[in-house]
Amino acid sequence: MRVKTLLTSWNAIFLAALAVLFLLVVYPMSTVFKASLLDAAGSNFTLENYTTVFTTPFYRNCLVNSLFVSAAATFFSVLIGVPFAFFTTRFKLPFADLLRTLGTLPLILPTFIGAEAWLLMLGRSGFVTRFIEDMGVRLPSVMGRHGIVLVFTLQFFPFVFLMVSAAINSVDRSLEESARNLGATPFRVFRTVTLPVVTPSIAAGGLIVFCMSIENFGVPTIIGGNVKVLAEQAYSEFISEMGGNPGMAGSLSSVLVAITLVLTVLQKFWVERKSYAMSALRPPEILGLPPVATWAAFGYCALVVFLALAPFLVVLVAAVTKTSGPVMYYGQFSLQNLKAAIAVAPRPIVNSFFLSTTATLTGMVFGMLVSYLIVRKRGFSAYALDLAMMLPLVIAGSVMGIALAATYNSGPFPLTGTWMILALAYFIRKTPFSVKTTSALLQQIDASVEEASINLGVPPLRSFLKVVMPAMLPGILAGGIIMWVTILAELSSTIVLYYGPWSTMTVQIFQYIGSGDFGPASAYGALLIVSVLLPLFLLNKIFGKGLAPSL
Amino acid sequence: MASIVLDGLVKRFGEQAVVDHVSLEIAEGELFTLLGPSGCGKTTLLRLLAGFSLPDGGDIFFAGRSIVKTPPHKRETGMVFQNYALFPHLTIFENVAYGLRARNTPQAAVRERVSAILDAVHLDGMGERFPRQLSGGQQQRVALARALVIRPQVLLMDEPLSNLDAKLRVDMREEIRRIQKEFGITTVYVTHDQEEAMAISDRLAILSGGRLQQAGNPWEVYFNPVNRFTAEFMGACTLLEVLPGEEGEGATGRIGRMPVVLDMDTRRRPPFTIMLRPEWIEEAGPENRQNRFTGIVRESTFLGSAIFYQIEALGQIVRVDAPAGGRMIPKRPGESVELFFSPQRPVVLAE
Repeated sequence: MRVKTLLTSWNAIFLAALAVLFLLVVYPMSTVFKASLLDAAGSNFTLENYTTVFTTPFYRNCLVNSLFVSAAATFFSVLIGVPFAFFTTRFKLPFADLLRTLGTLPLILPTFIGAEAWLLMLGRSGFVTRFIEDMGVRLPSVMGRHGIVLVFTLQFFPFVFLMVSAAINSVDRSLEESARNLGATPFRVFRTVTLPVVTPSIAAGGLIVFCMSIENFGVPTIIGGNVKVLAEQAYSEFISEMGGNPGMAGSLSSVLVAITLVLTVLQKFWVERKSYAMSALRPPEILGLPPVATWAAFGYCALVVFLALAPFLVVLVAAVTKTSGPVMYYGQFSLQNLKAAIAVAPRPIVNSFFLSTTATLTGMVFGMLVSYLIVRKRGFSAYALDLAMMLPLVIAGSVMGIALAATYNSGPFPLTGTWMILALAYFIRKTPFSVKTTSALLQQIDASVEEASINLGVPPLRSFLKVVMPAMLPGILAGGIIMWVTILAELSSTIVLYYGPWSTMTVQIFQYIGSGDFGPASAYGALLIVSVLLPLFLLNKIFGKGLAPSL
Repeated sequence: MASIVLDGLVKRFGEQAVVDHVSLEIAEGELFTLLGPSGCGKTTLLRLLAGFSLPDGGDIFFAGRSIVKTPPHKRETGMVFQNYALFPHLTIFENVAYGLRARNTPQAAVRERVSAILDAVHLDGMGERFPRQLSGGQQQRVALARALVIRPQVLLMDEPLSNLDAKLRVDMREEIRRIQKEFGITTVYVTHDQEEAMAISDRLAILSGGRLQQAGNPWEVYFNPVNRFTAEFMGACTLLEVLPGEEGEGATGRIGRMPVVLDMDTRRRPPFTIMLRPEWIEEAGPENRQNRFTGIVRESTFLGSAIFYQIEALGQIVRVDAPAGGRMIPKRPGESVELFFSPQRPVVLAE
């Protein structure tokens, strides 16, 4: 088979891809795992690091906190996301399109900036807190578990909303019509047909929210106060390496990865199997509601969107507000902080863009080749590659950072403390997005398109470049843009891996928040928000909708 | 334009031979159909011709030259894919021009030839559109134009009409037939639809389990199927077991207790199987004495031009088609009917 001989030349690429995944994921993670099984001296086998996690009150609290905030965020995301999906997808609402677009945005906006904004509003010296205090009422601080859950919910509910909304649209109208035809009342149809059919998607969305929450590093660190979670504590154990404890960092990391891994496997084999998506020819009818219900539904959706996005407006305002240290002079316009960030010390911005662009370009090429192998090669090896490629998704950023830092701080490639390790971490963490968007698109392109080109006289490799590549291009670009913006906003692995001159915007924000300097933090925050939204806006303009599902 | 010869072609997927020693000769300018149920190896055979698959045995000749070692992009075959495989990112014009550009045809010639072929398939003025803006039938024409414009030695068509609705399918097959004759291009056409195959082909080959069952013109394979598979695949039929006995009065054997008279030149003696097409069995008049039997109508289906009957007779169900308004008076289920078939009609099947 001629196409097969083309594929044999792909075998080299296949092996290279496996090697990359081994060196950047499997091997570093095994280092972490090995460390978790060694005692403090680093020589003898022990399970003590694990028993400590489960028996010492402090560590057990970390675990409980992690599980609690994630479960609560999942619960509230479902509670908010499901009605949001139904209201904006099934019913005639004013500005439904706009609500849907705005409802997707929180996914892309950096979570720790959301946390910062809530501190600006409801922190100890937040402007809302002070305003209400002036009226004589003392608000409880937003710091703590409830603050974490609040930020997670508002940032992650779109996962539920998008999954459910997609499910609603992927069910043919005839399903509900036949239920009506068989004599069911509208409510009964909803209860017995519509809801069961979208339930797997609710579960899938919920699982994503849970995994995103439990691996999140920035939000609990910024707004958690003295509430510690696994992702944060693993970092603390690791970073205080001199007096610190690689064994505990290892066991905390392993527990965290185990939780996400189990949930992801559950998602893959249970939820995906229960998917009822049909190649819908006629999505369900969009129903009109009585005016009161319409405005109630609209009000609900608008409120959700407002609560989710207002914090980011606050950051934008704070960026151009006069500050001195932790004191914000709201109402007094000033460019001092923006100027400082852009003109006086631009290095972090340059670093962010340089690292993000480098990792993204590498990831796009890699993602394109891997996608082609996964979709066209089929068989066990392709399936294995597909699974391996999705591994980084279950590894929390801080854990990934710890793994890479611990593995490559010595040996033949001492990378720790160079910019390369940052770029590699970003590359391996975000390339799965590129693979997802590209292979999803490639799956829709029949292999015969390529064969048609060969049949018309164009040799195989050139056919790939002339016919397959252009068809994959929207997927490659969409994946690239998602990679680029999420890398810009990446805090968790950066905070472990960066050193002195290679500080990034996210590190700056994190440190300024830590020292209470909300002015400079907001300036970088605003720059980050704009850098993230601008490309997405362009992406939407170029490719229309359908960007969100690829997340 | 080229004749095609397949010589003992074999293709295995693992242990299983999906093309099993197939030999065929297809004349220059002929429209030749590979017909068979799904999994019979017809598409594999077509892909062997296109070069997307290499044979495990045998040889393929275009115009007398073996082409098995020629890579697919140098075979000069024009292929029309089942799903058309139009390049979604290119306009219709660029889709059709694609093969010409691959051959470094000068721009002026590209323009001229693409326009000419788009005219020929009635798509003039559509050049600037994109594939998704076209209907299924139009996309089909683009695929055909794209394959033809490079003036291939051989045109290969893989179930080209299967994605179209019934009415369009009939129109398009006439269109394909017209264009194929206009260009006089040797064409290998794959389908599982025997009616489509009969309508479009100069000759056809019936495949089953990777083996060639029978090749010939539509007339031959319909009226003279060589075996049970071909007989049943080419249309409705009734198969009857002829047993020895009741010789004399010109009878060859018997079916049940009915003596059978077969007017045929065969040295074969019963037992054997004969095949009757539904329209070969008619209602018997007083003058029809041979091969006469009684049946009871079990079901009748009125189709406008004809009535299809399932009649219980000779210990089995016999399929009979009668033209509506013809000699046979419409019968209802339960009625008994006298039937006969002419001694010239039945085909003796090689088992």
